[in-house]
Amino acid sequence: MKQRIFFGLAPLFILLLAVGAYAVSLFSIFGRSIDVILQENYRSVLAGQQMKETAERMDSALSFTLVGEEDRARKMWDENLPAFRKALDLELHNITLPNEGNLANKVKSLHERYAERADAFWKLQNNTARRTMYFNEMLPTFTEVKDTAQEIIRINQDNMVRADGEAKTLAAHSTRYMLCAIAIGLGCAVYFAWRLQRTILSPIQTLTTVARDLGEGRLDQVVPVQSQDELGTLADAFNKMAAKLRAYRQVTSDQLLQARLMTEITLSAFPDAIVALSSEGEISFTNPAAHRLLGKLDLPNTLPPAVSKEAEMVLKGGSDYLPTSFERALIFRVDDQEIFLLPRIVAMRDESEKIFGAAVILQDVTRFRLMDDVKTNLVSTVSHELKTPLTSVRMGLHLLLEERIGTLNPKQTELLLAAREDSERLLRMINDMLDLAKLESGKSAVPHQLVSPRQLVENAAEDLRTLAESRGSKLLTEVSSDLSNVAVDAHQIAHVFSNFISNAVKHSKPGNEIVVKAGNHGSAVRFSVVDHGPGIAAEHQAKLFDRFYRVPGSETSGAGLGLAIAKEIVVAQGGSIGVRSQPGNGTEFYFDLPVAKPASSI
Amino acid sequence: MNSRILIVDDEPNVRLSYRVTLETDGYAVQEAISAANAMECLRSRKFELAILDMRMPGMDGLDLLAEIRHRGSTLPVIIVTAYGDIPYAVRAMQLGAIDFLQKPLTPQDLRKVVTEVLNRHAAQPVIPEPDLDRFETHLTAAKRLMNLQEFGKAKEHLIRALEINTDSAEAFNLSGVLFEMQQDFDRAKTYYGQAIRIDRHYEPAQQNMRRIFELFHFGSSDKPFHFGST
Repeated sequence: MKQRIFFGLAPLFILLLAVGAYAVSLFSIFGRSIDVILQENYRSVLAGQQMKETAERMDSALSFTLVGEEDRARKMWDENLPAFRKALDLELHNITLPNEGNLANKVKSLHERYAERADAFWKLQNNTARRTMYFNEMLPTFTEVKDTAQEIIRINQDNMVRADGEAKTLAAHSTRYMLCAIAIGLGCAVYFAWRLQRTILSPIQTLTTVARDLGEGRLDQVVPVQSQDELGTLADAFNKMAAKLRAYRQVTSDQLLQARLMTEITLSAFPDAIVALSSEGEISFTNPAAHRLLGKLDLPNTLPPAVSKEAEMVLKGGSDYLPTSFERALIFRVDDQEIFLLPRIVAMRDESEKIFGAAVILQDVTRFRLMDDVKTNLVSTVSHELKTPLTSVRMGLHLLLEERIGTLNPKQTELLLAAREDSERLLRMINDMLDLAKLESGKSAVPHQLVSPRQLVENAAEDLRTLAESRGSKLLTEVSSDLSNVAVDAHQIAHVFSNFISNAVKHSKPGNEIVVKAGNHGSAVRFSVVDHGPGIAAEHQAKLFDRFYRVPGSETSGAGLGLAIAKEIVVAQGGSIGVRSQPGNGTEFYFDLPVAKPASSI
Repeated sequence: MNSRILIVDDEPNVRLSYRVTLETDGYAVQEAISAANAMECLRSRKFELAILDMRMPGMDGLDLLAEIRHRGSTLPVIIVTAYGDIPYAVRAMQLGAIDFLQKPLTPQDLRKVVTEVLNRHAAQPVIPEPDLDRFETHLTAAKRLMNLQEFGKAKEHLIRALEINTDSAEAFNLSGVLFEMQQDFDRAKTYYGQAIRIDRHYEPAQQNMRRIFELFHFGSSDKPFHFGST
């Protein structure tokens, strides 16, 4: 780059230097020639003038003689003769022009003759002779000297005039040359500026264009690397960057493609109808299930009105429509069959939380509805089908044991008692299962009453005191005085207590205490039943509330549903249930119920 | 006594156990294997009581009861249900059925209800003067009148019974049933609630309260009407 700029500008420097040197030389030529001409010719002119003047004085001296003033004339002559000779000598040493030497020599020879003849003139005593000699010899010689000196002055003056003219001409030429040189320089400057622009700016422009293309996503652009300088390095770095971007985009687009394929395949394989809506509520995508479904419903390109309405709300920024209850399912009739569709609508938001569409999932819950019906039917079928034979078994056993139709021997009685006990157990198990099924189907929801925890604990103790005492256990209560009321179904809670306490009684030794407690636990009220039985190993504790789970080796007679039912009840009332136990240290079963809000009433 | 009792149940073993129970008490028992069979029996003989199974193939217990009433009979009935049956509660009551038994039952359960219903409908005994305005007398009369579908008179007796004894869960429960039959559900709830307050273990009122709640929240209920005779 530096070199490029240097080489680009160097010719301009050279041109400038050349023009400058030429101008300086011209000025020096002018200065020297004028000076020399002026000095030399001026000296000759001065000498000529001096000669002319002194010659006239000498002539005057001679003419004074003629009028009788010989002394003054002699004095004047002697004064001017050396001055003349000095001027002549000066001139003889300042010959600069052709013919000037001849003229000077002519003056010299004339003057020598004039001086000789003057001596002769002075020697003449006769005034007339002198006059004759003056007019015949001296004056013409003097005139010739004077004219010759005048001639010297003239040629020198002419030369001065000529030199002046030459200088003017030279100046005029020089001006023209200078103008030409400046014009050429300008031309060169323009040319080099253009070349500079080409060599420096055009790669930058190329780079700019490519960078802009790159920004617009055309990543396959390459900047030609034309040089090894800074621009070349920049172009190279730029190409590498573009190559990396291309590689990155390749990877990203591969991933995107995979993600898209995955999504498409998943959505295609999805059994439920999925419809994507644009922000205007128009269908922008349907998976095959949705396509089939909308076709069957005879709604080729629209959603069912009820769904559209909800979707509109969601698109307008309402909360997502995510019903969980099958009761919100919509019923459609397809091919003489009822189908139940549960719509779920989720807004699709971009990074700035702006809604750009909505996903509508139409879950076919027909089977769930059917299963729900089957389950309900199953409950009543099982109850009928199991209880009917149990009725005759139980009645038969009871009747036999009454001994009103015949006496029994002790062995028969023992066997029948065992059979009756197991038939009672069977009945409890069936009832437990039905309770659980009913609790699960949510049909046992009952009005919640505001009850004081003390009341619940005391009722429970009262109900089960007889049972506890029959097994030799003491039932105690322990209730904090500052408890808020809870909103619950007291009947169901009594069931939970009954389960806890009868378990505690079963696992307590005669004489052990069983404590029924109620106290604050965070924002809830904790009810618990504490016994001093053998406790429960940690590995069993977590499973206790599972259905049909029975601690191995235990002698309990239930189906393992009691605690599962208790859990269902407590959870249905918005509470939680748990156990704390250490083998050998007794067990605490507890459940927490939320404190009733002041607004809630019976 | 020798009261004649008709047992209607499609299960032979169940019929057998009922029969043995009742025969050891000295009742004359006849079995019917279906509603149609029962109608034949009723046509050929007079019975003092019928025990109807709620669930039977073909015509069920309530349909049979409706048919019996349609023929103009005021025969007292006991309806045996299984847990999970959906009784048409108001319909059962309108047909004069207020005594229910739930499977599986014991001989004692059966005997108790049978005795109570038969006593209720036995030829009017001469009630001694001092006993005429007693609580038990009014309650029994009310139940009998309800069986006979004379709900207005039944109500008068119940009111009187409650005046004498304001502490009877059974009387409050029966009043609730009467209100419910007149579709006065708010009063019905109040009376069931009062019965539960008097005795929170009184199962008939518990079940009635629960059922009336479920009726309002789910539109139907599988809790049988409970009249306190079990």
